[in-house]
Amino acid sequence: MIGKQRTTPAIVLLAFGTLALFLRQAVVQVNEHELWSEQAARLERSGELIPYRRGAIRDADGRVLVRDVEAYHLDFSYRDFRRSHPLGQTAHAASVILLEPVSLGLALDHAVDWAAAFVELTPGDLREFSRGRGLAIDGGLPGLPATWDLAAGQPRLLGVTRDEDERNDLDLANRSGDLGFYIGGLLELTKQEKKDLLRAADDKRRRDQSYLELVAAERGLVANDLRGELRSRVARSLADLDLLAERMRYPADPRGRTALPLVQELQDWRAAIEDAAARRLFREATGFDPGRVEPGTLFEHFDLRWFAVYLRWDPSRTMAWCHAVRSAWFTKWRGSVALPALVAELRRRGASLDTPTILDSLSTLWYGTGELTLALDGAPRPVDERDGLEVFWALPKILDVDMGPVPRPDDPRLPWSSAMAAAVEGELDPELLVEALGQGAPGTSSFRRKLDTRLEEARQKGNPSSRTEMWAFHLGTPNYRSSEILGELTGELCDAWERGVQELLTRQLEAVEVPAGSDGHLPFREAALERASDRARFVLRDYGMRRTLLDDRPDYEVVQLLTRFPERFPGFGARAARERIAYDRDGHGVPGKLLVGGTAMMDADRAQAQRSDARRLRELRRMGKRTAEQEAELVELVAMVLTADEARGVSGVEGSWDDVLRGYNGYRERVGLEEVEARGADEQDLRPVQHGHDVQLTLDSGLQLVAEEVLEHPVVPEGLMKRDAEWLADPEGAIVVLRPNGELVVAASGPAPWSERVGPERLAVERTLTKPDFKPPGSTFKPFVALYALEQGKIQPGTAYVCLAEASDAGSNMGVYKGVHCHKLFGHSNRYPDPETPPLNVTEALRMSCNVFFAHVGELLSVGDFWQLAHSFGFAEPSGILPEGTSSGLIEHTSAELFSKQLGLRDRMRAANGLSVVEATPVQLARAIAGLATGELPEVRLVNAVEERGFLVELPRPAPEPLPFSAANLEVVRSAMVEVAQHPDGSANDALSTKQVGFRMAVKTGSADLEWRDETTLVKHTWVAGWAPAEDPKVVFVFFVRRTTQTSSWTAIWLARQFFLQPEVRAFLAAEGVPLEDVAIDPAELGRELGR
Amino acid sequence: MKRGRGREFEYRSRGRSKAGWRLLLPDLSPARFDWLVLLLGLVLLGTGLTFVAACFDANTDFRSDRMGDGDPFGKHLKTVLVSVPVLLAGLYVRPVWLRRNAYLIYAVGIGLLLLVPFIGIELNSAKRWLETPVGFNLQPSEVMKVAVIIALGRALYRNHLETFSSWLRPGLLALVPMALIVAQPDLGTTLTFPPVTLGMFYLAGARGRTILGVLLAGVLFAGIAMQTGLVKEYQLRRIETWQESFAPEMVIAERNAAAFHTYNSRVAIGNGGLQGTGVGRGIANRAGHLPMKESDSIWSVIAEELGLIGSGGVLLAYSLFAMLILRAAGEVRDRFCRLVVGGVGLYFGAHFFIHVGVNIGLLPLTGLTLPLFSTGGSSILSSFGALGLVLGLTARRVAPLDADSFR
Repeated sequence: MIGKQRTTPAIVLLAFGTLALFLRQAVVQVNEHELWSEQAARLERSGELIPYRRGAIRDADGRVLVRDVEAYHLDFSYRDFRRSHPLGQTAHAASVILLEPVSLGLALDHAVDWAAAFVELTPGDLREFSRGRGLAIDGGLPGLPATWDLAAGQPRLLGVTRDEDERNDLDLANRSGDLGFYIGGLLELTKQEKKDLLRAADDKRRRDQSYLELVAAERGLVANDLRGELRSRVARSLADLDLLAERMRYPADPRGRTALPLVQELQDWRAAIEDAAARRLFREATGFDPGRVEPGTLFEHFDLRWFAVYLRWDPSRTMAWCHAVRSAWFTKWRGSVALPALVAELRRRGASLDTPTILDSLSTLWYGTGELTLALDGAPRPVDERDGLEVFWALPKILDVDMGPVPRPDDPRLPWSSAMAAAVEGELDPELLVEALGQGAPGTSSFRRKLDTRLEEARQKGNPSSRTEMWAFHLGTPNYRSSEILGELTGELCDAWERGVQELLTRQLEAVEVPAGSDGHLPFREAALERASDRARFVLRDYGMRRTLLDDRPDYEVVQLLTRFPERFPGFGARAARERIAYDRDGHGVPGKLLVGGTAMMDADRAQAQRSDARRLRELRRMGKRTAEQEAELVELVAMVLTADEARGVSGVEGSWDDVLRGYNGYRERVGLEEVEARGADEQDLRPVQHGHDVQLTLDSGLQLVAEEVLEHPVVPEGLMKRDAEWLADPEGAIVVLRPNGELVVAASGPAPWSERVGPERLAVERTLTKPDFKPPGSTFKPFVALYALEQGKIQPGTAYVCLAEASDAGSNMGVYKGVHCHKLFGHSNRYPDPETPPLNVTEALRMSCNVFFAHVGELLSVGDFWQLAHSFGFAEPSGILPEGTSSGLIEHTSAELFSKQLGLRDRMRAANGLSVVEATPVQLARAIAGLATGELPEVRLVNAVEERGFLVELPRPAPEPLPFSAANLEVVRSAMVEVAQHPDGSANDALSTKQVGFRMAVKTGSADLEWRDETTLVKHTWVAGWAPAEDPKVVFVFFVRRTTQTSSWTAIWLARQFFLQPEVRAFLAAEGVPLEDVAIDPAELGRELGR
Repeated sequence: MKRGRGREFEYRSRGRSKAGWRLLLPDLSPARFDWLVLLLGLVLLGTGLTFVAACFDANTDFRSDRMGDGDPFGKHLKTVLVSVPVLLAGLYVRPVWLRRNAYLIYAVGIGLLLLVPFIGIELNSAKRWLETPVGFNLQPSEVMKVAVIIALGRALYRNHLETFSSWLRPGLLALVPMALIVAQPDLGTTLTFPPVTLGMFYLAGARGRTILGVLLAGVLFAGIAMQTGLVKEYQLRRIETWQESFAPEMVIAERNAAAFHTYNSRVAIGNGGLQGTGVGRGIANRAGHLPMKESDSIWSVIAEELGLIGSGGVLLAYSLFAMLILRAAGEVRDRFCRLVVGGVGLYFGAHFFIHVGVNIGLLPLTGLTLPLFSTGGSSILSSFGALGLVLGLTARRVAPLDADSFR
């Protein structure tokens, strides 16, 4: 057919077109099917970690000391506030009209009047505004003088533009839309009303009616009534803010309003949003963070007007932003993220590091993030292979000027270049870094000084003696302080390098010829600005939607207010969270806090250690489809990888029993979207959450607190001849109470964490398990020496030695034997005026704590004997308090070197007196005393039971170790210790006799000299250790007084007495089966308020 | 055979048509009625209804306060049913009457377009609709598509486009509504005019080389328009996004920004694979992220849920539908009718190609419905009217006697 001559080509074209469509569709549906189906699965698949509940720590009575609780955090979304709260609406509407930001604080004072003024605008007004013909508010806006022309006595016309370019620059069309949006919000328009008002703008009859009138007509109301209702509603919303601020405990201003400080905080967040958005826009345009450039350089050389205009910033605000981003980059990115991660990676690699690797790693801070990533992955690239220096590489691409040649990645002018050139592979030489920096780079003297200071401190403690050793030491030490120190040192180094880089950048920028008409600033290329302007709307919206934490511990009333009346507080929200809280006891925090310990979020070292696992977990979570193996891997990693907000035990029981207390996060996946309610969603727990287990301690928290208070307020009778007033004013010490089976009932250290004496300059120190300084037990060691010597036949119960002063011992009138002095003037054998000088036997020597006697005994013992004796009673060994395999948390000091080296005679004689080479912690001493009291050495126990399926299950108790001493010899020593308290000559009789405390105990006092404070004052530690009742041990105790100037007869025994007179202690003793007699107790002797 | 003015007597003398048919459609021959076009049209309509129903059904699962507008599928079905009389009206339209009133119809269309800036309804920064007293928002540009076809048929009825000046009037007939529509702004609709117009010019006798020249001039003009700001910013962004969208990683990278629509469209289509996900079970319906899935993006839903094999069949069916209309045009004797029918074939073909092309990424993103598939009352009315015209005008055909039927 002839007609087909014309239609046939069209049909053929259509056929080819169809084929082209089919082929293109085939590419998408066949070639790219995997990719897009993965994306499709991702759209619907969402996963969430289900956080576990960490186990609680309870005391012996089951009372909770610390636990995880459901808590609330108070969040704020500025975007929601701006759009829905009258304060936000009026402030931003005013900002739109004035074309500059209006603060919330100013709006707070005038929101009611402003709201009333805005709704009087007409659709025609907004149309004129959008066209650049200006807008005037009748009567002006109170508080905003710019809205009123004082000279002319009329409202000022705002937003008048010269031409379309200016209109576009100011984006008046959108601004007018924004203003309409806020007016609509103030009037609480429905969707239909909004549609109608949009039409009103083009309706000549209605265009000049105010929005208020139009809406009133729509609703069948009188305009005046609507006006009144609006004013009331806005006023109510401000009153609600006052209420919220009051509940959040903000102080009221002189006018009685509490909202202002809260609003100021919101304003600060608004500024932070703008800062963050501007920073992001800058990065979109340039490819680098503006914080990488010094504020002065950034402000002077780069043309920042393009986003300053968008955000309506004046020059001072822009400059403030330059400082803010620089500070944020330094503290948040470099200081908190990049540098700690680099240091952690260096520490992780420790021994394998050499100087070139350190330099390569640290220098990546000035290159692209890809280089930093490689360094964190352990494989930093050499500088000559890197892509480019951050900032420098971008300049030719983003600036519309001839930049000239920019420094290459390995430019010799870079501050690390000379150090790199001189570094020798395989060697660790931080000296090189210092020397290289000395060549012209400022700040190195400060770096050197800090380095030298650290070095000196380390030497004093017997630690590394050279810079190299110190770097190596801190690189390899797991201690968190090392991480801190190394971070500080590398921070100093990087600061110096940063200065060098900034100088280079400034010189580069100053050398560029600035085009005429650009106000001295280097203009950006159009492409760079377009890239950013594309994002502008998304960026501002995105950052505005981000929530900030206003309060991480809001009061219940605040939570109640926000959850019951959310519509009154748009933008504010109470979000459920989990918190670990310690239960305060009598205002002193948790008793035994140093033992209970604490938790902390993941540090940089841990984050770096799990870096690759965390990355793999993120990849697996993002996958829309997974194989069975990948799913299994995901499940495993969910348990292994710590989240950033997951608390781990770092000290005390929290740390040592972290494996028991911690749980494992669950992981739940959902296929299907939350908002699809009818169809539902398929939820699956890929890994069920495993909560942590509670642990029960043996500690009696009530007694623990009493002990801490006694240590804080020790009382020694006023009339006592020798009182150490200095120690009493600033007491330090420890109290340990054990059951003979090893259960630790009290382990108190003073000053306690709650003491007012404790602060950043003086930390609370745990003294019952550690010996942070030299801690000889003094004469409390003598019973063990006596028992051993008796058992070995070195002495007999009747063996006696004379204790007298010697005329040849110049300068001393104390009893002495071969240079070992006793504490008794003229010696214990002196009976002046009786000429007799009877020797002392072992019972008497123990009773009176005669050093001379034990010096004789020490002469008889070899170092092997001492070793045997010490290890029989567990001195310097682990007491059993720590679980097996623990590496962090509770710290117990032990000493494998005790009696492992040869000792001279003098040392043996002093060792027999518990001095010189002997050390013990209070808990070790208490354990040994328990062995002495019962003949069996127990393991000390702090954690008694662990929760299993809702029940507390007692941990297996190892059987106590029978001691290899005969009953007869034990009886000799025990009887002597009873006499220490009961006999009038006993060194503890004055304070610890039955008459004094109401029960019979066996004790030994001890004083260990440390050093001469001055010519006459000798500083010492003093001790009292023993058990009660004397004949049938039920309770073992140790009292330790640190660094006092008087012996234990004037210090430790009085501390013990004070403790034993406390009603709670007496009740405990009675409950343990210690027979008590009544004693008169003067409340003043107790040193604390009862009934707390 | 007697030729009367606007009357075709040939089949009257046969007397073999059924009484019912003759009563209803006295001017049409059932033997010449293009049942295949009607059948295909109904199949396509049925397919469209199925997918629209699935889309609306999926929407009800979502918590959205926009779903308080009653039964959207019911409304769509109502619109379809209300459009059936328009199809029937097309059957009854007599060619002579149509030819005589072509410019009047065109003028009415232009008039409606001119009303839009003044009393039109603005939605999403575009003013394209007029509110009617019956509560229905009419989109004049949809009506204009058919009006232009009819007017061009009239203008080219005796114009073989042999001289430059002979191009002016028909050219203006197309350009004027294009200018009015692009100002709304509605670039998608505007883009359907050139292929229909140039196609009709070709059917009217214009030389292929001349058409090509006009096309090149159009491309040049488009280039100038892009450079001089005649094309809006967001439209330029779409072109840039389209250029980058051939690389899937670029689409994914921009999925939360400029390529949001493209990304969701591509995900849906790609997810369908060979066999599809099943009706109502595609990610486009389950996730609900794909904008305008019942209208401008309906092909993405069909491609996903039927897969390449199933949607390939639909592609073939639709293409065949348009081709059959063009073939039918070739067999219509009357020049005016031939041009109108050919124009309608080009109308369906152009919409088909642009809509599917946009959805699969072959063409830059622009909003255009797919006639007989997408929702949109005005689009349904126009396509039914156009189909009615095709069925009516082709059923009046006589065997071609004229050697210069398209010269």
